[in-house]
Amino acid sequence: MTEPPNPEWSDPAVTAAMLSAIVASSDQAILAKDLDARVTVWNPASERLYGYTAEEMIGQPIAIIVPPDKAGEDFDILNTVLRGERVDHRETHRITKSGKIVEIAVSASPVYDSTGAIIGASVTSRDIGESKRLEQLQNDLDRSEFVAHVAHELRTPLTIIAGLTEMLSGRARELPQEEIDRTLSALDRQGRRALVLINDLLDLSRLSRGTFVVELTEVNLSHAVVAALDSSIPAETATSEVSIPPGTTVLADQRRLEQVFVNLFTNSFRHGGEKISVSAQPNGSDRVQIKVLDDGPGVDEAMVDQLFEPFVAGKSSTSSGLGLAITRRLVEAFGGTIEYEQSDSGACFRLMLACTPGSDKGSST
Amino acid sequence: MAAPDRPPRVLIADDESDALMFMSMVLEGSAEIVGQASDGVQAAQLAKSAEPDVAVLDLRMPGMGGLEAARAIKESKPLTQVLILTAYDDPSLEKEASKEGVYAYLIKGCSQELIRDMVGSAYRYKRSLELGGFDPPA
Repeated sequence: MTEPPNPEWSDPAVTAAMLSAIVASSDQAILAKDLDARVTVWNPASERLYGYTAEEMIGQPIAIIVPPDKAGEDFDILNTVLRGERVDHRETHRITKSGKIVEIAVSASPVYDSTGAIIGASVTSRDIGESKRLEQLQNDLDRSEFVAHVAHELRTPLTIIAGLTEMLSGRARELPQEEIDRTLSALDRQGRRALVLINDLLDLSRLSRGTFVVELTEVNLSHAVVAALDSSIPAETATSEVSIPPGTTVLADQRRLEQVFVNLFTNSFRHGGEKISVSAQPNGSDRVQIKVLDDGPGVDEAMVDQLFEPFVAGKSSTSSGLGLAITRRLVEAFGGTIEYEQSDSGACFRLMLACTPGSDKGSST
Repeated sequence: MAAPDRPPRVLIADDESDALMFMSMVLEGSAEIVGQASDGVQAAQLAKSAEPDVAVLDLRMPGMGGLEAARAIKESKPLTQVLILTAYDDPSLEKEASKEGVYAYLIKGCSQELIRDMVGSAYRYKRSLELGGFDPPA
């Protein structure tokens, strides 16, 4: 142990005075109770939080500030401490002198005498009501912002559908067939787009609530990547390079893994990438690291932290704005992780997925 | 005021090609479409060369959005009237649009009649300015 700078500080009386000063000046409510759950220490912050003075509380049962429905919980805390264990950040309620219920976080530790016997408990409490209210407010705001965003995203295709339908029903006889065909194609596209958004919203909701069903099997990584490239890259303008050791398998849901790659690839092409490189290598004995790299401008630094949040990546006529949010949650549902890193040559997404025992990852193309 | 002797020349901008097609059909017969843009930069450029009477702009477009494009159009063609047609019925955005001198802020899903009427009204307002001054719309 480090020696105190001044030998006086080793004096038990000085130490006691110092601890007493710390307790008195602390912003946190600090109290102590004996084995009979009677208050032995009550600092000024406890006075401010609960409304009772030290004179009123010292020697009184702590039950005064415990709501009847929390009595059992408080008993548990005391019992835990009496067994010599700590209690960390237990959220509960207390009742103040004025009868107001306060939401607090409690931490408690045993207090020992000079022989090492437990003689009581020291308890610190923090009012968490305000931060909870702010958190709830923020959640409400986030939710209403999300709902507003969904409404806006749906309004565009639905407006076009409603408008074109109105147009067709009123002018079908005078419109040339070519115009009618064009209108029908637009109706089809916009209907599908609204459907994609609704399906993505349902996926996101199920993934967020943990009710999304994934069937984890051994999936051949190359097959999934190539299938996703086939269905997502614009053949005339884009190129791709795949470097995955033969036989590499990962633990995932086949169809959903393809969806993950489709989301990543279309995202790259939508944001200016013309060439995509996908590579994979073993990471330890049970993981595979997959890198999806493009040659586009990369992600704006201000957006990186929120990249996997809904509607951050920006709207487009071919995406719902939910792709990366769903991608991250899908990868997590496979037991994996996905991170974004800025690379010199463009955007880079790094996935870590579990591989399956016995997969042949040693050889290389 | 006498009716204008020609239909309004209209520039439309939206990053949705289907929305552009829809707008063309809505305005067919009542306006001449002199330009179609898929983003704000293109709209601002087209406004210089195509000399529209009225520009109907979407708000959210990649690169340059509708409000920035409105400002650019007003700088190069001060008499051209700008309508915003957007999915966002947000009063603060409407206020910003008004500050940029936007003639009207319309919400996608409004009636086709309203779009035609507002284009006509914006055009008549532009003509009145050309003929010697008129109070701006309230």
